Formats: sequence, structure tokens, C-alpha cells
Amino acid sequence: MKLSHTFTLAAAKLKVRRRRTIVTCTTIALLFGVVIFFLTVYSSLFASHTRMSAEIFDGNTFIITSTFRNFNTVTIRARALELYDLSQDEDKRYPLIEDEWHEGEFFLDHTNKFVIQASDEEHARLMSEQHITLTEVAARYNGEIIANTEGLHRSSDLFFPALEIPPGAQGAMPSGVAIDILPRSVVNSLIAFEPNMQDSVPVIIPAEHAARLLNLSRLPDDASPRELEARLKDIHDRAPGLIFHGHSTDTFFGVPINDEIEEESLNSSELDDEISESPTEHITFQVIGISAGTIQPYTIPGPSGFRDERPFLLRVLDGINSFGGGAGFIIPTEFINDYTLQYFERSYTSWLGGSTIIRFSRPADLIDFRANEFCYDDNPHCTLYGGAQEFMSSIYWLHTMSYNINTGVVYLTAFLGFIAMFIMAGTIGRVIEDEKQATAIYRAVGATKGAIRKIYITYVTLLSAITATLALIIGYGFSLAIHIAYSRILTANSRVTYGLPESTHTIWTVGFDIRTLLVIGAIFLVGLLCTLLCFDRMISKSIIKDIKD
Amino acid sequence: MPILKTKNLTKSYKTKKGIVHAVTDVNLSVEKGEFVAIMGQSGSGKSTLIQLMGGLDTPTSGEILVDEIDITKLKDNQLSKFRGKKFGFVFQTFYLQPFLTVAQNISLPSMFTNSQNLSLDRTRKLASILKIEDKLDSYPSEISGGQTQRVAILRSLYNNPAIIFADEPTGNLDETNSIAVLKMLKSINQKLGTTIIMVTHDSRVKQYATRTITLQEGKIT
Repeated sequence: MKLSHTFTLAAAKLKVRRRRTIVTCTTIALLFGVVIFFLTVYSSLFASHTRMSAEIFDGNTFIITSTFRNFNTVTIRARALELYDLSQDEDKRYPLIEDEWHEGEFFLDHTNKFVIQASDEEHARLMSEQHITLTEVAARYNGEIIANTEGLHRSSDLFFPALEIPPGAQGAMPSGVAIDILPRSVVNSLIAFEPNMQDSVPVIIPAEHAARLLNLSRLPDDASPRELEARLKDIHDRAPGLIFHGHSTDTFFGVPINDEIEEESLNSSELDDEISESPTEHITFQVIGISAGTIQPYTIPGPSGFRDERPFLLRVLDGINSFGGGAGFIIPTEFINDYTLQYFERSYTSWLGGSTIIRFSRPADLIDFRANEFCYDDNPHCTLYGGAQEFMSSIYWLHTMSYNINTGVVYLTAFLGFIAMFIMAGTIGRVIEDEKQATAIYRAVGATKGAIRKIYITYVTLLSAITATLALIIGYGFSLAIHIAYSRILTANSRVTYGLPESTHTIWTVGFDIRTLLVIGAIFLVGLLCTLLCFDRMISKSIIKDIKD
Repeated sequence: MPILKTKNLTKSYKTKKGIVHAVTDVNLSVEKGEFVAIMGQSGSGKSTLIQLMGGLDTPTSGEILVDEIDITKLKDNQLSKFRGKKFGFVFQTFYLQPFLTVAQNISLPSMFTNSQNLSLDRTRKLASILKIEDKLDSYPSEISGGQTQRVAILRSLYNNPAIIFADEPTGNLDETNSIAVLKMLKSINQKLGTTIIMVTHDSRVKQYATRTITLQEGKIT
């Protein structure tokens, strides 16, 4: 059978059954049109939004990972090893103690002050198997590791935005160490990590302890929000100048270390007396920030009760972890790029929250980074490097929201698409079954099954083409209507949000989304499949039976 | 040599009430150029017989030889092609395609057989014989019953078939149109030498047929 005859017969059906064709195609096209509408509006909004926001993001740091727990842990490890090297000095020799439980791991021990070891067997295995550098991770997402020499985006900035970084602080600042209630060994550890901070260790302390140090009276439990706000402001105003002292009787790498720092010695009301008793043994702590966090009891148990058995430093770190504001060390800049990251399934050895900055050139890279690298505790397969916290900004929030909408749009369009496909399948099935008598006559006058199949494939392809065209008209029509109605106000609002009154970019809702092609393809594919699947039902062995049916 | 021959042709149906023997052991021979009228009461099996001979239905047993070819042995596609070249059909209810014009309906068989006959001139020529040339661009719904049947007859003729099977072609027509259709068929039979096998209740057909066969309870009497 010639193609021209096939087309003539298929087109003739459309021509005469105009009403039915229009109803069938319009019904299906409406559903697919809505899908196209969603895709078009969303992708256009997202594209225009990204274009406008790029003016803000270009060349700016807009994310920090304020807590890179594993990185910090490894830094500690590296630092411990460095200390070990230093310990080869005859005068400063510290024994290297092999880990009895996990072969291959070793740690330094100096009265249990520096111990880096796996917390359990799995931890040890992961430590040895997974070596990925932070630089590598950053590169994967077009990121760039930078030293936080400018003190960008520290949590303390929320409270003391104008604070100068103390001299000598090259890396991230501590972000919430409640020195006043930590056991003296914690203090020693902190100092040991950064001996050059011996003269004045900058700390951030929880607000409630700052109040104690400042001899502020305790607020009643039922204090009003206004009183609380006033109290916080009072603390903020006074804390930056607050200096308090611990005292030591020993040294550690030249840093005075106190064997017996008493908790009460940290009570500022008694500081003056203690300072006067042994001024040379004092360590000065300068408060540079107040964290809003309060002390929380540590409630996460270690595996198989292992936590109680963990060496000293790990317990110390756990202790630091118990503060809501986090804790941190000053990480030397030169360490940042070189150290191997280790993966920890659980985080009880980490949360030494120094700030490490990864600068991303595009918001999308940051979002990808977070999506792929964020580690959830209930995800046993995660291969991540710590909990990256997003930079709190409305711009970033807009991006996050856009991505969330994207997910919603994908699900919604998939759902609508499936419904549309089922309806289309049913409609095509009915259309073809209604053609039973016509096909029987074709056969009676000499048509083979193949010839009839060609006619109906052509017929349904023409139906699909009409449907797809209508769907595009409906989808883009609605998008255009939305554009005409809202583009101006969306643009104005977005410029305000981004702070770009002079932006040349506009927000629009009409554009092309590559997924539209999938929708159009689905229309044709469903039509074709239904034709082929329904075809055999349309033709029985007896022509007469089909004619009479 | 007969153009069509049936040997022990039988068709049975299974129904809820039991097996119905529509056609039983029919042995029939039709010579080329004959105009055979098959008559009988309703339910006698005459329509079933003509449908079997035309290859529109499959027999339960027996043979149907057309030009010595047993069409019961042909595969579906072979049978379709065979029908398209050798047979023409005229039905009681015409069965024109409502979405095709009169011209397209007339030439429909040649679209499937890739016949060289397909041309508008030929269609016009055939239409003028039956005086419907002015209706070629009309749709079936726009012409009368008599004209519709003429279109159906022309459709059956288009591929120059050897046999035309007509299943009560006058059943839906008034007397004038019925006589006209019978005359047309007779004319085709005489002028073109086409064999015509027609099933009918109409006793007037005896004047036109060269042979009349009566069927009773599925058997030739």
C-alpha cells in the first residue's frame, strides 16, 4: 500500500470526525498543556532568577561551612603528629603509643593529652580507606578553599560584627567554647594546639556564663522577652572587654598548664584574688563573642558503651560538643589544603568547629555540594565530610526555595503526566475499537493487517501531532498570560530582594524547558504504543463478525 | 472448469443452546460468467454460505476452491490479497466509509492492492456508467440509498474482480432501486463476464439469474 494512500485514509478520518477529534485531542492536550505550563513557568522563573541573582554572587563568598567536623578531626590528628615530630626533641619527647585495639593506628600520648584513634573498628577501617582531601571535594563543585583570614561569617559575627580579629589568629576563630566550666584539661588542650595564643586565648562563651562572669544577677525564669533582650544587649556591650584568667602550674610546649584549675577559680568574683596569688601562672582568656547556645548534657552514647573507654581527648571533645554554640580551634592556614579528610560514621570525635571556607562561584555549585556531601546519621552509605551549614541570607534562601520548587515541579509534572498518559491510552484504545467495522471493510476489499496497522499508526500520529500542538499552545498560552500579568511585579520584587534596583535583568515565565520535549515525545509514544497494543483486539479472525460488531 | 467450487462445506457455531449447523456439507460448483442466486428462508444459511465462499469467514470443515486454489488454506494476509484481486462484495447495508468521498469509496479496493486501475478518470468513467458522476465529491451521508448502493456496486467492480458476492443487495432498497440494482448486476454479468453470486429473498431475481439455488437448514435442496 502506497504511503500516500495510507495518509489519505488516515487524514480522511480526522477530517470527517472533526468534532470527536477536537474533543479527544483537547482533553488530552489540556492535561499535557498543564504539564508544559508548569515546566515552562518554573524553568523560566528559575533561569531569570538565577541570571539576576548572579549579579550578586559573582565573585563573592556566599557560603561557609562553619563546621567541618572531619576536617577538624584530621587537623587535630595532623597537629598531633606534628607535635609528635616535635617531641623527637630530647627535651620534649612524648611516647608514641600503638593503639592496642586497631592495628595501624597510633597516637601520641602525653599523659593522655593527645590521642587520636578510631572510635571503633568501622571507624578505623573508614579512616584508613577513605582519603579524600578537602581540596578535592571543593574542586568537584567548582569550589575553592580559602583561609578564613578575614573571619568571614563566624557565628560570633552575629553578635560582634565589628570585632577585630586578634593578632596571630590566622584561621577560624573559636566559635563557642565555654571555658569557664570546662575541666582544666580542656583548657590545656586548647592552649596546646595553639601555643602562640598563650598570652590571650580568644574564646566565645555561652551567654549565661558571660552573665556570671560579669556578675550580672540571675534573671528570673519568667523574665519577659524585653528583659531577655536587654540582658543580651548588656552582655554584648560588656563582654568584648571581658578578660578572665585561668592559672597553671606546669607547661606544655612552653605554655603554662594548670594542673588544678578549679571551676570556682573561673568565677570572676574571685579572679582578682587568684591573680594576685600567682600572677605568673595565669592564662588570659579574652572573650570575643557570646554564643546563644547553652550547655546541653551529652546524650548520644558511643557504640557498645565504648564512649566511656575512649581516651581522654575524645572525651574532651565530646565535652566541647555538648555546647550549643560549637567550639573551635584556630587552624593554621597552611594546614587547610593539605590534610587528608577522613570519614567518620558518627561524629562523637568531631565538632571542633573551626570555620573552613569553601568559596563557590555559583549558587548551584553550593547546592550541589550540599546535596551530595551532607551526611545524615541514618544514611549508612554517606561519603560525606561533615555538616556544611549554609550562609544565612535571603538570597541563598531564595535559591534553596527555587530548588525545592524544582523538586515539587518534577513530582507534580510526573504525576500529571502519568494521569495524562493513562487517559490518552484509554482514549486511543476506544478510538481504535470504534474502528472495528471500518477495518473489517478494509479487509474485505483486500487490505492486509499490515496495511491497516499503517493507517492507524498514521492516524494516531496525526492525532498526537494535533494534541501536542494544542498542548504547546495551552502550556505556552498560560505561561504567557502569567508573564503578562506578573512579570513586572516579579521583576520589581526580585530587584528589591537582591538589592539590585539598576539590574537590567527581568523575571519572566515564558521559555523553553528541555523536558517539554519529553512531554511531546510521551504524547507520540503513548499514542504509538496504544495503537500497537489495541490493534490485535480490533481485528478478529472473522471479518463478518467484525462487521456485525 | 468451475471458477468456484465448494466441497463438503460446513459451518457450525457454538451457542448457549448448543451447536448450530449454519451450513452443512454444501457441494456447489459455479462456472465462470454465471449469475447465481441463492435463495431461502431466513436462517437457512444462505448469508453464511456466501460469506464463506467470499473468504469473509472461516468454515468449520470443507474446501472452497477458487480457480483451483483452496482459499481455506490461505494465510490471513494471502487471503486478503486474494480477496482484493478476485472478489468484489456488495452488502445489504452498503458499508461505505463515511469519512471518504464517493470517489474514494469507489476506488478503495485499489488503494490496498496497489492496482494500476486507480485513477480519477477510471473512477469518473465507472461513476458515469451508474450515473453518479456528479456525486463523486460527496460523502455517503449526502447521497440517497439507491445512489449509495450504486457506489457499493462500483466499489466491488473497481479491481475487475472475477466474482462479485452480493449479500441481499436490494434488502434496504425500494422497488424501483431494487430493480435498478438487479439490472446493474445483470449488466455487469453480461457485459464484463463477471461471475455474480447473490443471496436474496427477492423472487424477482429469478428473471436475472442464470441459476437459482435454494438453501434449507444449511443444505442445498
